[in-house]
Amino acid sequence: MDASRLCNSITLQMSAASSAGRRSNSSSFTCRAHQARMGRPAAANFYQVLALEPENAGADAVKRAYRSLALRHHPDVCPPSGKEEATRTFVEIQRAYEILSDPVLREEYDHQLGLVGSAKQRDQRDEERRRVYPKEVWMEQLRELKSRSMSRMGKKKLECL
Amino acid sequence: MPLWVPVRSQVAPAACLSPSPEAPRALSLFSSSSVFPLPNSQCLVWRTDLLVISSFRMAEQPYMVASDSETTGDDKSQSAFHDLAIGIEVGTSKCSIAVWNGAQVELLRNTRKQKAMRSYVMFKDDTSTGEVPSGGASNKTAYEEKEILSGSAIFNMKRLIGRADTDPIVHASKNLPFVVQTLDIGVKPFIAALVNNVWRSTTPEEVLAIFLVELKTMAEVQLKRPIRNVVLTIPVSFNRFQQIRVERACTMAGLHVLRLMPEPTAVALLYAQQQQQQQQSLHGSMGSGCEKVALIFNMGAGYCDVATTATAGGVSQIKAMQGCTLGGEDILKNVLYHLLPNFDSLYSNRDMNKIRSMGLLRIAAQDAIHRLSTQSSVQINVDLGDGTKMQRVLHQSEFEEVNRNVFEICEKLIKLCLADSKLAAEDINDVILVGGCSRIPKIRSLVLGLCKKEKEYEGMDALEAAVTGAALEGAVASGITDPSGSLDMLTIQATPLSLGIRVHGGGFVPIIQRNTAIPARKSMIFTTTQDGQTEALIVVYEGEGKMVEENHLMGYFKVTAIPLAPKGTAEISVCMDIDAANTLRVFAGAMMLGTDRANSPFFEVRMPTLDDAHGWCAQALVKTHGSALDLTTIPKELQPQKVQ
Repeated sequence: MDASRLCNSITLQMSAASSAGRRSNSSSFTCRAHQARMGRPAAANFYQVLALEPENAGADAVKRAYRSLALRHHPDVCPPSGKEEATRTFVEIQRAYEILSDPVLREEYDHQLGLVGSAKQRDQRDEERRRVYPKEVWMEQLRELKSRSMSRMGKKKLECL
Repeated sequence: MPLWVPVRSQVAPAACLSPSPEAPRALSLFSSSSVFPLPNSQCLVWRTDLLVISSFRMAEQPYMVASDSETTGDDKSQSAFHDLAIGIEVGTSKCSIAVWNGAQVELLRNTRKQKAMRSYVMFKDDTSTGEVPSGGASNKTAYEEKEILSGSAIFNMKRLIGRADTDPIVHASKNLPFVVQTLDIGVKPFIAALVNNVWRSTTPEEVLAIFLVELKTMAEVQLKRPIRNVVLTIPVSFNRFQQIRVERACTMAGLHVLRLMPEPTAVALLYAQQQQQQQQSLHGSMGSGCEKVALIFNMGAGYCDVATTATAGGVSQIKAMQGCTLGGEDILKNVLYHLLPNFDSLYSNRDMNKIRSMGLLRIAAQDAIHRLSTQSSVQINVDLGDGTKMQRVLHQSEFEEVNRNVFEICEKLIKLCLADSKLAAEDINDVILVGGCSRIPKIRSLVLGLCKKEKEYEGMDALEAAVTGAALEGAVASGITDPSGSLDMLTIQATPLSLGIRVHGGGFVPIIQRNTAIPARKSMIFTTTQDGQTEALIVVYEGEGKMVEENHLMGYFKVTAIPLAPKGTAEISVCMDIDAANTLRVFAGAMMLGTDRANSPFFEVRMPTLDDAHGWCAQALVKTHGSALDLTTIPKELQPQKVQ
């Protein structure tokens, strides 16, 4: 019963979004999919979903916000009548948490939001990058460059011959 | 439907009419006061054929007599009532029931005062009661282990349920005293119990249902109310087919499954509660507290599960889960083959004497294994009854050697689980060991060693933790609140297995990865493999294999109305949705070229659509359609799920 309703609501949202000529930020997954592909974030950003300020939302704050919201919105703790709504809300909260709790994805997302730019933030980001991309990654890149130059050298040799 | 016959005859009479000594008391309990006042001015009305919970005000109508024709009303009135769900753990070997009593979780005991009851169903011809099978929880007769192993009882149903006859576990079960037959064609195995010297067929679901009816009756008598909702624990490795079979067995027994909970997640919930209480007593506040990470290792008679959980403020997040069909049964089998290398050939003909001596040997081996948990060597003395006697000493080192493969698999599971959850041994605060096999010294040292811990977490009973957690979940999910806040808890479950679809060439592309938090919804865009392809087959699988044939086929359907386009340009969106009740739905449809609009209505399919894991359905599809309806992936950067 709720399945068909869900499907209906999706179809409705999709047609509503397209007929109004704007992008819906509701749970219409196909619309969202395309938003992402166009590199455009949804209207309610992930910080807003978790009720956080981007500037002072450390890893702990993100976790805390996620947990307290989960305790309120997870379908397990909601009355049966509100389960469908709760599921939608929770999926949204979960998605926000997944992005914001992952340093790499969060940086990418911040970039999309246009939050990144100031010198201070860039410093923070570099710090983060050093942490996330350890020596191995850097070495790997170096090796790749070396092998490329080797093959170039090889080609040159062939040409000389 | 023949499946229902024995169960139906059991459901009603067991509660009120059966001639068992306990039943008259049960009947009088209900009939002496036919209306039980319940919270929210709801009442319980006792009827002759079934129990109905209806909502009305007591002043107006103290009780009502419903006619037999009114049998459809109970579902409606049920939804308004907070029917507290009980927790049940049906183990391969033992089972237990627990319930939230208003202040804490209490385990129920049978009339023999046991909290852990042997899981089996005895099939016996009894002239007084007809041919009613009875289970191990029964208060009538306590069958001795010898009788259980006589071929008349079916046990280990948890290892058999929802498996096809090609499954190696089913094949391994052929050395049990009852009959397990396989034809290796991917259908349900044939199982049969010995009744009056005849092998009478049954099914694992039926056996489980009979057993659950007995548990239900026992709980109803003790709690003095009808039981409908249950939270049942299951192994991590159960696929959706096995889950459906368990649910079906519950339905047959008149139980509604509120949640099937992987065993370690039930333990995680109990851990979350204990941490919450500890922090409250320390700080006196409900603060979210600091995060604690635990590794839960659960190994019983049939299955081994590992999970990691991060807990703070009563919320337990399942980070990762791993599980496999490995347990005490495998350890026992290894020991049996060690004691008697020609075990298979000795017992292949199934004559009565052989079955008896096989049972005796099993009991002796089991006992030896138990004693080896505390002793370095045990003496085995067993008279097999057929003129042969076994007298020998089994050393712990010998035991560990013959079970080396078991320990290796345990080690692998733990390592995988840690890697999945991106945790190092140093990140783990507590190691929780539960399940019967966690008492084996080698297993303890192995788990603790891998987690670099001196000792395990204390404060949990290894055999009661899972069922206690299930009862907690039952209370939370039934909407019960506790003034002291000890039910302000939540476990955020994760999917134990990946879900995805088949792509061109037989590859498996997961759409929902394993260890994704539930409820979950993920979508992916696929494209066509043929020029002008207007239809595409969505074949859904569950599992971890890179190729579809290594995974379980859940079902399939066709997406139509794909706009005419060269191959690789049309877009087909496939979305998978798992709700909090763990129901899987797949939405799929074609998009209009170059737009984000659906070309025609999407399809919504609840999975699995198949009744069994019929691998040959997939083969038939390939044979009939070849690759004409195949899909393929599109480059990662065009996928929507990267940042949504």
